[in-house]
Amino acid sequence: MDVDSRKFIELSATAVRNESLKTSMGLLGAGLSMRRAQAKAGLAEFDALRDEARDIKNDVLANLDAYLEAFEAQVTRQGGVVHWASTDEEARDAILAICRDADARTVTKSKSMVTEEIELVPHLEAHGITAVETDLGEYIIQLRRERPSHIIAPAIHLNKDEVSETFFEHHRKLGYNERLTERADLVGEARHVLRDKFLGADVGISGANFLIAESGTVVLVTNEGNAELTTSLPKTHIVVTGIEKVVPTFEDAATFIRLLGRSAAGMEISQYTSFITGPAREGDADGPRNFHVVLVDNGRSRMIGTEFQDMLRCIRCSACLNHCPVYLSVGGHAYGSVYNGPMGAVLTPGLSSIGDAGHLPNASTFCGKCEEVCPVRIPLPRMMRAWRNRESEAKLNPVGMRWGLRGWQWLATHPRLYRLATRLGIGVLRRIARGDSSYLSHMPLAAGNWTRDRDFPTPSPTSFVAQWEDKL
Amino acid sequence: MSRERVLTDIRSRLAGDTKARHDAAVARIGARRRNTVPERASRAAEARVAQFEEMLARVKGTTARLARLSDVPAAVQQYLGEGARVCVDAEIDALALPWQDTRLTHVPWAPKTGFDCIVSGCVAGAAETGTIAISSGIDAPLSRAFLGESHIVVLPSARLFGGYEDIFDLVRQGDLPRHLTFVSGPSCTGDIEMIMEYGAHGPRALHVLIIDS
Repeated sequence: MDVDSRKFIELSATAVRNESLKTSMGLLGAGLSMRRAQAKAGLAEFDALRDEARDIKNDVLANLDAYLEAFEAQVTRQGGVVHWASTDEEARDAILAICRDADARTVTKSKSMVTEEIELVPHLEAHGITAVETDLGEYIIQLRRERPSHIIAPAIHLNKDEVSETFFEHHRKLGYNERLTERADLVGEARHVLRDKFLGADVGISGANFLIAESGTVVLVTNEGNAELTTSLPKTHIVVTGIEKVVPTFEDAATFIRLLGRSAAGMEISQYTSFITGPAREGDADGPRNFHVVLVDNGRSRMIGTEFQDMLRCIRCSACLNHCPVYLSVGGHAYGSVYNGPMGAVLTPGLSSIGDAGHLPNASTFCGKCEEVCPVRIPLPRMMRAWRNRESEAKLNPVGMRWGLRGWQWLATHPRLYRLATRLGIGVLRRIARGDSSYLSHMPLAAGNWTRDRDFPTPSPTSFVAQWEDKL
Repeated sequence: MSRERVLTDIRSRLAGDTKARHDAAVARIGARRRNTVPERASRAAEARVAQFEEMLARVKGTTARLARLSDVPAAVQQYLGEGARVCVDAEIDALALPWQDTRLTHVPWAPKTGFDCIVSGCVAGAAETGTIAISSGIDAPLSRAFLGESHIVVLPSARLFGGYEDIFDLVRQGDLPRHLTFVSGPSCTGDIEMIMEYGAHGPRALHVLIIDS
């Protein structure tokens, strides 16, 4: 997994000054969080479903080997093949080998975060296979050679004009000479261009939202219908997914389906939810003859039995991103990882290392909103804190920060000195404010970093503790 | 071998023995226990049709109620207009409906292009979210349902269930189809500036004909 999170501070500083990104993030944050709240309010059983979903995933993780073997046995019984990949490289090799067996020249893809994680498309391209992303957002960023900036809205960082420009540049060689300005026309042009790709592809590659152990069924959720065309037209279908996606039964999948669309975008259910079980049957009018599932570990099993195991419950709904004040300020690209926002801040160091991704778990205000909206109740702030501890124990964070925290710890455990320091601080800050403002726009020394981009509230004349003692 | 490596990595971190975990998983799968089913997925048959229509309308799907199956051709023509090129699936074709009374052009299943609308049957419906389930099979290419500009589905009210679990129970009675899809509204995308546009890759419109008898 290609992680480039060391530049997070630099990239986020640029991102917060990007006006166009600010508009996009505003649309995303306001739109999706409101829609989720409405969907939650409309379903009395929503929180009960969340508890159940958490429990189902906990049971699956506690018996993961057994559920995966059960899933594999059913896929095999249906005439499919399961491949296991310990690393991203093994996954890429397995997929390339299947494509070569199928004499594939063109591959269509539906959206999959795991294929982003293992950097599949560049690998296929390097071996002479054309891979076309068919989810509209993924298609747009593929043309622009960018990474997704959001789990379910990968091109959210772009506006309509940028999409228009991209299509004009790339579709011209296909005979589309008009510069489109309407959103509906842009969607229509992509539909037209990609229809031929669907019909001509040798292999279809999809991810999986869930794997059902009971029957070896792969569950795929989309709004566009691209996954259905990707998985039913070509002669070969390859499913690429993480080992943590398995659920026991169809009934369990139902619980997650009821949560996923509502948590992601306030939809009661996505437009299309497909349940795919093996290759085409004898006499079937369509469907692939070859059906493969590639189960990717790539660092996931390392998280089992640790304080990060709960992260493996994640269903990639993006609710934590949509509600995160940090993500909504800096966007997805600053994180330098395909997984971003609060879930990415926990998962990225898990799959990569805390040395590579140390900035990410530090990029949180610990407001707790991510945990509050998570459909599987992942304690994201607790795990970000755990990563911070590990980073500090390994002495990977800056020396100044470690000493600063140590000094703070010492002060905070000496109440008399702490109160004295508080009194001094209040005095200094009120002197700067000169009593004429409720907010400070400048502070001295290192505290000036705080006031560079925002104001600091002027403290009241006496501390909380002093006021409390007065009242007693 | 990768398989052994992945399983060994997982097992080295799990509590208990392999046999106990295997037994636990087998028992859990075998029980096929229903989890919480929302009240809205458990309503009485009489209430379901109105619920289905309301939920589907919310996601820009449309419905029409017909007294009998023989009303289907006229309803299709009313929806599409005269001269529309329709592709009728084998299930509906076998019903020998009075298509000759309409001015619709019939296109056989074979081609993947050259039609405006697919008219198909379905496995069942779920009122909880205005969802219909379609499946692949002999004479039933699932992909075709995604290649038309619009999709008309014939749903007998007797096959309209409350929730998803009822559909699962139905399909589990026989061999599972290769591909079962829950359809809840026309194809759409919000990938450009979060505004929903219809007709992303699949049908731009979804129309369900609910047959009362």
